Amino acid sequence: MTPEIRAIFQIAGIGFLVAILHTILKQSGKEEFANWTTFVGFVAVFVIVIGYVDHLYSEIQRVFLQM
Amino acid sequence: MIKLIGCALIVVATSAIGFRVARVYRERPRELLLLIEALRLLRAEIEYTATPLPQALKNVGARMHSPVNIVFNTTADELSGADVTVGEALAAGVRACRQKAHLTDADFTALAVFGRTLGTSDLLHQSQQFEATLAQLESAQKGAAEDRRRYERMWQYIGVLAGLFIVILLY
Repeated sequence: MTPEIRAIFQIAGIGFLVAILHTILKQSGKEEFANWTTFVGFVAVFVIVIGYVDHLYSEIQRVFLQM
Repeated sequence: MIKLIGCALIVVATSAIGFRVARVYRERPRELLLLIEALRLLRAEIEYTATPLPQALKNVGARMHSPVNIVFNTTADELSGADVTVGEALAAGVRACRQKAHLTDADFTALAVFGRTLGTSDLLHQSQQFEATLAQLESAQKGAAEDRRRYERMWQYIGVLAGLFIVILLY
């Protein structure tokens, strides 16, 4: 499994878990906690994605802006 | 292989934490019911058979299940020893029970407040005190049952899902 495919599965898994957690917390009447878990999931996904975005930008720089 | 074992360990650990928290919600209504039943027994001992208090407490303790019997047995033991008031003895009983039981501080406070009135007035006022404490514990029991319905399953899910979350993040 290449790192990219792994990241996609990772993000999908996090999304899945956060969706379930959100529903359960909301059902038990803890709406603020539900929102916080969504936020934490978002940050986790962001941390994973940001490495790839960084890679993408440096690649663009290397291809198009090479001095 | 080692990675998989580690993942399993993380999930098992967080699930155990979740189930442990859920257990508090499961046990509290049951223990409150036991406590109410015990107070009813004690009331019958005092009002109907007029048993002396140490013996009455011992009888109730013998007929109750753990952890509520600890309160009554310890209180009876304390009373048979040095000269202490009933309130102090019951406070000692509550302290002895506190680690074993899943009741909250409010429940124990109700019991301790009741203990301070035990044996300080006549039958009529004692009876009123029983009524008040029983009503308080019953409303606490209703609240605990409601909490159980809402939060027991939630904490179990949170335990398992938090483990899976950590595993996915670190895998």
